[in-house]
Amino acid sequence: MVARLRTYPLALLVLIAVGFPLYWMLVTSLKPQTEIFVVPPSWVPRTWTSVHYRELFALTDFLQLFVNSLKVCLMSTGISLAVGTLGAYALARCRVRGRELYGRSVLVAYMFPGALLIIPLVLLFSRLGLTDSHQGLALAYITFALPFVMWVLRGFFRSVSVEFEEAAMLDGCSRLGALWHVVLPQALPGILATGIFAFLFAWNEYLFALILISDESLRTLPPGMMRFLSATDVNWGLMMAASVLVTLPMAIVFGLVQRYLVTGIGAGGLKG
Amino acid sequence: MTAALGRLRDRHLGAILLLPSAVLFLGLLAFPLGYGIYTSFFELHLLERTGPFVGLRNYVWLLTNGEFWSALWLSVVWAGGTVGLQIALGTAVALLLHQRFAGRTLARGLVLFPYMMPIVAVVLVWMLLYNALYGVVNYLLLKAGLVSQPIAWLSQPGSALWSVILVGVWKYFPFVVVVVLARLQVIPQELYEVARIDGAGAWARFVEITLPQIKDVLLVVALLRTIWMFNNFEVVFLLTGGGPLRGTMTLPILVYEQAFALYEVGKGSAIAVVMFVLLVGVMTLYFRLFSSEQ
Repeated sequence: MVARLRTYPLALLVLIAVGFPLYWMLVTSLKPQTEIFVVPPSWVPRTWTSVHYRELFALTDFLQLFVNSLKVCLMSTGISLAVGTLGAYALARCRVRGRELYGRSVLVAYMFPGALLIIPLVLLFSRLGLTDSHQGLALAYITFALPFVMWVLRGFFRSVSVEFEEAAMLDGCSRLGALWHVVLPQALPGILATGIFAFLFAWNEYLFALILISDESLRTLPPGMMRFLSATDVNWGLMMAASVLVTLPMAIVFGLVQRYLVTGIGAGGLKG
Repeated sequence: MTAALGRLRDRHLGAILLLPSAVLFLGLLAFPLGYGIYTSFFELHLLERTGPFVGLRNYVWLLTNGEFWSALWLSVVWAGGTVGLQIALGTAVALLLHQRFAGRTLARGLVLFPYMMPIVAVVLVWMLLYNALYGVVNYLLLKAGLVSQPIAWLSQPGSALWSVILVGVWKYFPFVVVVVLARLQVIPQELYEVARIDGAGAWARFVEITLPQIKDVLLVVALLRTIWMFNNFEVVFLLTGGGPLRGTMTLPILVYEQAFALYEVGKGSAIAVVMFVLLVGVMTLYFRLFSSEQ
């Protein structure tokens, strides 16, 4: 009972520490410009307004940035999931030579610093015409998305029981048939959760996007949003509106599949 | 087609399934890595793309340059500070969320939020909170009497590094919470019941039962997070750009500066290669740890 009494205030404290910046982002985006600068701060907006959101779409290229980001992230996630799922299955189940070494290389790749890769990537990509291209940026994102997918799904496939597969194969299914009809449906929640994280890492990425894309019409959200930040007079309402909208897709997906996500994380660790 | 593949030996099927990923790994990771190492032996200009072979001169420049050692030290403080605090805070919050209380599921979900949030959004909201004129942080500290005048947290040499570290902790501690929480859930309850019968208090139960049980997981998480924080470019770069007075110039930012602001691609590559060597050292430690565990 005493322990219970201590739990609530502490939990409340943690939730405030985590939740306040989120709350502040949201309410600042809904306050008129003058109210953002008042001291003491207006904890609850006195006037609510959607002007910053309207400005964001009317005065900036936010929508274009959003679409570009979506395109690049879907490409990199799709390829990483397709290639990574097959590879992870092979690493978990097939007796292929050099499997352990390959698994370890995947783990090393999974920890590769972006700062190390960006220099050779920009030199090579510019020679291949892959700079200023969404395909090029998606390829760059595969450098972290694919090792992540393979590492997590390898652990996931290992934890899925072999018996179902064996039963299916006794029933006349081929190995690939068993993979398609038995293993993949079972692993689907894990694959989905892994894909969401691979998407998230790409969605959040800043350095590759900054360096590999310099054409303004091809820019993606993270570097594109930072352009709105002028040195002298920051329009905080607009910046916070953009922050809310860049966070929103993550929040929605996250709310929908929260249960799967936690198991996905437990299955193999994460990058970040 | 499927039937033909189905008759393949296991080994061959495995090789076929691994082939696409191997191609991508070779093309996008192994070859660029080698090319990056190769570049570090040249004095290469980013825009001209040509330059003479200079042997180890970039590495000599680096090792005799105070800038590099200062960046290495700042990276160690940044990684050590953020990881230490993430582990402490993450473990404490995991223990808290392991308790039974109303609204626990919701709390567990909300705590994950900073980790999911895009870095640009995190950086922008903390810039607003830290603002010297109308930031909430200054307002609260002034109100509490902890500071006598507003502080420009991100642009003063004394406070910038720790202000940045705080944001790093806020963004990444949920990772520790999730991993530790998963481990806490599989500790056998009998251990605690026995200890309770023996009259052990809450602290004694934590030190004698919980801590030994989660020790391995904490070690692995600390290693992983150290690698990632050491490599982290965005948080510091976007908050301070490496300043003020180069007081938050960590190694990834130094690489960026050399290669993309000063166009010294060879020197930038040399710094990146040194980072990679350090990383391989830490990874070796990680594998030792893992194999000794199993």
